[in-house]
Amino acid sequence: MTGKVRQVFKPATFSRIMGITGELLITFGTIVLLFLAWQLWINNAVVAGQQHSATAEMSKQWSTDKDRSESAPTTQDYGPAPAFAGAAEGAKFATIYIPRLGADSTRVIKNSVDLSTVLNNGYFGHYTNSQWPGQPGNFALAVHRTNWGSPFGDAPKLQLGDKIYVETADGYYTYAFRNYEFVLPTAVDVLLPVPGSNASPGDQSILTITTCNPLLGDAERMIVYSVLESWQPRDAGPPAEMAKTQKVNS
Amino acid sequence: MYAALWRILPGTLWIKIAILTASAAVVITLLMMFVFPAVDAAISVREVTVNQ
Repeated sequence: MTGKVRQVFKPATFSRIMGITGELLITFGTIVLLFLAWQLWINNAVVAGQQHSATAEMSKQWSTDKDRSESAPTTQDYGPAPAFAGAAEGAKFATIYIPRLGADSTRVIKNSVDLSTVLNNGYFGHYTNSQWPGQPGNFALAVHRTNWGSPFGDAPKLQLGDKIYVETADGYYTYAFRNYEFVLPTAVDVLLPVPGSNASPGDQSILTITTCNPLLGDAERMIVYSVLESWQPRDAGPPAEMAKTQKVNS
Repeated sequence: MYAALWRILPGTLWIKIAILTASAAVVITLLMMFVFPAVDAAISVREVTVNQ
């Protein structure tokens, strides 16, 4: 009699353990799927939203009494751009807007390329040892290509001459996209005043943006080069293309 | 495990469903606010800078 009870009891225990194991595995699988959804869409949207308000806040902080919708005549030449005075390490000091990557592609630039405090929060990071906007040489930035709220996934759609706008407390720097380069992660010569060369930059200002390559991997780096085309002071108002988005933002 | 949880929960069918929905929402929120950022920082490091 006891033997029979045992025979009935044993499979029941086993199947209960298997049942619990199965439920735990299903639960774990669901959490992994939730994590992927969070990483690919939810966190991306949350960080992009934070950047949206951060850029609006910076523009407001800098804004003068002048109507923001009013823009300077594009034909006027304000002469050579003055060099930006610099910023403390880790400080927000500029915004960057790339119309080709969408009307909502404006992001804040911080003076550091730290992964956890700057890049993973959707900021562009400035290589602290590179030059400043308007200074002869290389204004070098880093940004995530995808995820972490980055708008840079569409960067390969940039075409020769596409504008990249950098706004600081002083005014607006307009860069024009020139070319891409694909390099190894150790290619620090892309940060030189003249990328890849020991030549002197003369009075030329270059904007270099480093990001990861291939998409969703980091075995290589994609480098986006642009050159400073024009500058206008803050009281001249933003370039026409930029004024449009700021009107939307505010 | 979940069968036992269902048996322990008090109330009618709808009260049980309401309790489970609310606790699932709390768990998912905690995961997204605290657990996922920590896991992300630990396992999915993607470098975008050049350095030696």
